[in-house]
Amino acid sequence: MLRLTRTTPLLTAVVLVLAACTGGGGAASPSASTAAASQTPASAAPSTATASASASAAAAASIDPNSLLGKVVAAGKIKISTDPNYKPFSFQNPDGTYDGFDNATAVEVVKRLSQKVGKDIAIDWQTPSWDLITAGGWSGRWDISIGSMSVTVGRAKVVDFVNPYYYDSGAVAVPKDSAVQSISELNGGKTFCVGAATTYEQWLNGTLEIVDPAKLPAPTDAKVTSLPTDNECVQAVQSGRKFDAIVANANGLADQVSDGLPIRVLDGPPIFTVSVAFALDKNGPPDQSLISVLNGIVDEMHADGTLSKLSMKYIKKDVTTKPGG
Amino acid sequence: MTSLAARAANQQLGDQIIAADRSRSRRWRVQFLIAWAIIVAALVAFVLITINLDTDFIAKWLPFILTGVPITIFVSFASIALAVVLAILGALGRLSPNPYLNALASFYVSFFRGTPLLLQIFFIYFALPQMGIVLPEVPTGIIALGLNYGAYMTEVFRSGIQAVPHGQTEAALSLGMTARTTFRRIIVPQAFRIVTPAIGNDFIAMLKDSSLVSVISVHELLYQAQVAGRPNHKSMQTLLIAAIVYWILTIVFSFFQARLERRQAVGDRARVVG
Repeated sequence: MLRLTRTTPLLTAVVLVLAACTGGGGAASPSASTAAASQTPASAAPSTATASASASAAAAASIDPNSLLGKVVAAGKIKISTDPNYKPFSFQNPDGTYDGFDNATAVEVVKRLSQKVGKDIAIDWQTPSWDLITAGGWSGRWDISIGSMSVTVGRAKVVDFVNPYYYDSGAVAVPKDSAVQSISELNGGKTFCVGAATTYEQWLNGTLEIVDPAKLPAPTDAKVTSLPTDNECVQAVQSGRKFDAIVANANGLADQVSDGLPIRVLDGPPIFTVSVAFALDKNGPPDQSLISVLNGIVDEMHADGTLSKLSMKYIKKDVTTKPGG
Repeated sequence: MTSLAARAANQQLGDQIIAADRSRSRRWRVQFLIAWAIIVAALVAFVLITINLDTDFIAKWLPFILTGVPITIFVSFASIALAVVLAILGALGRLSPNPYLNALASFYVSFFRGTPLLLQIFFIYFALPQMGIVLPEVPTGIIALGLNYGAYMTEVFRSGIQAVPHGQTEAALSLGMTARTTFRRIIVPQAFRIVTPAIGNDFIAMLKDSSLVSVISVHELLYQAQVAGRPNHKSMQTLLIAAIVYWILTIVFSFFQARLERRQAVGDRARVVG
């Protein structure tokens, strides 16, 4: 009943209103990361801060504004993805602050990055689901993953890795009342629970390709259930669901055992050990300059014992030295 | 005399019928409430038996979980507002004789009803930045939810407009109104009343579907509950809290919806009587 000429002004008006709404919504909406402010690294002692600021002013000037580093410096903030469902690596406190080994490492890294570029850089925490982080193609939604990403051949095709900041090992846990004592007893169609898009899922499915050759063969004919995080697996067992085994991060499982959950970690060598590193999007802006700065920072934090100290604080042992090397 | 007596007897009978009616409806209401109370008590008992509630844990994490509530409400309201605007445009398009507008509107409905909401959320989250539009997570979530619900509500609005009897248009036109005035002053107000229950229904659904945007870093109620629960291995407890809060929210909004509908109905009846 309405002709185009009659609806055109209405359409235009509505589109304008719409634009205004979404714009206003953005400004007024509660930021997903207000809590980040409280964790923004306070600059170090004032005297050293000013000294390093003037020293690195020249370095800052030579940064390519189109590179990822240039964009981060220009914005004065870095968007870091973290998945706060993995205690003791990443979790949130009741006051909303981000805590854990990964997040404390991130805070320290950004503090040192700020000193190196001579500008205070704030952290904007992003919490997309884990499968989105490992898939790459972040569209600039976040700049970097500082979130326990294991270096695998498959992931290296979509993300660029910084030097490893710690070394992870996988382990197998069984329900406390299970009779199983070793991984070899789990062959032949047993049921497994793992977190989705994890290296443990890949190990079970036989698709895990890691640079480190220390990898045990996966149980044969495994029936795999993938839940959003591996914590759901432990809670599923706790609530009475029947899985023959859970495959997850050895340190995470140890943490859950000490929290009194009804699981038992199988003895024996780790099912695999793997380097863990910050990751940057291969499809994003050129990231080589940022990676070289971060490589320097990570090496520094290994050398001065900062990473070991954080590891002892959160994981109760030092996971930052390469196993067997 | 006899007629007076008969009238009095009639009056008395009438009063008795009304009184019996009242007491029956009162009894019905009491039974209804007792049944509700029994169901709720059984549910509470079941929860208390199956979930080992840790009150210290809940007291510690409740404020953290509740910070998601304003975001859930904000996202739901903003999304439903966007959906209403899109649905009006969509309905106009679907009813338009213009083939291009009609095609556009029917494509919109077909596409957004034909693909999963969760997929659309991921898609919009990653697709908009590739077009150079990097909106924060909350507006991104609102756009995704609004587009999806707008498609469903387009059909609601279209059927609402079509449900206004054709005689109304004919009467208005014969009074000398233009087609446009007829649409604006006669059709839309009546259609609005027809679609109000559907909008309310969609809003209730939206309150819950807004939880889907937690995957793109929107810290709404369900996200907060999961982040509080998982690292502490108490997901059932935090999810239970989220469930209760969602339920309270829907009860509150259902109440307002019922009032709005009653008010619109009153206007209708008043006109008939007057």
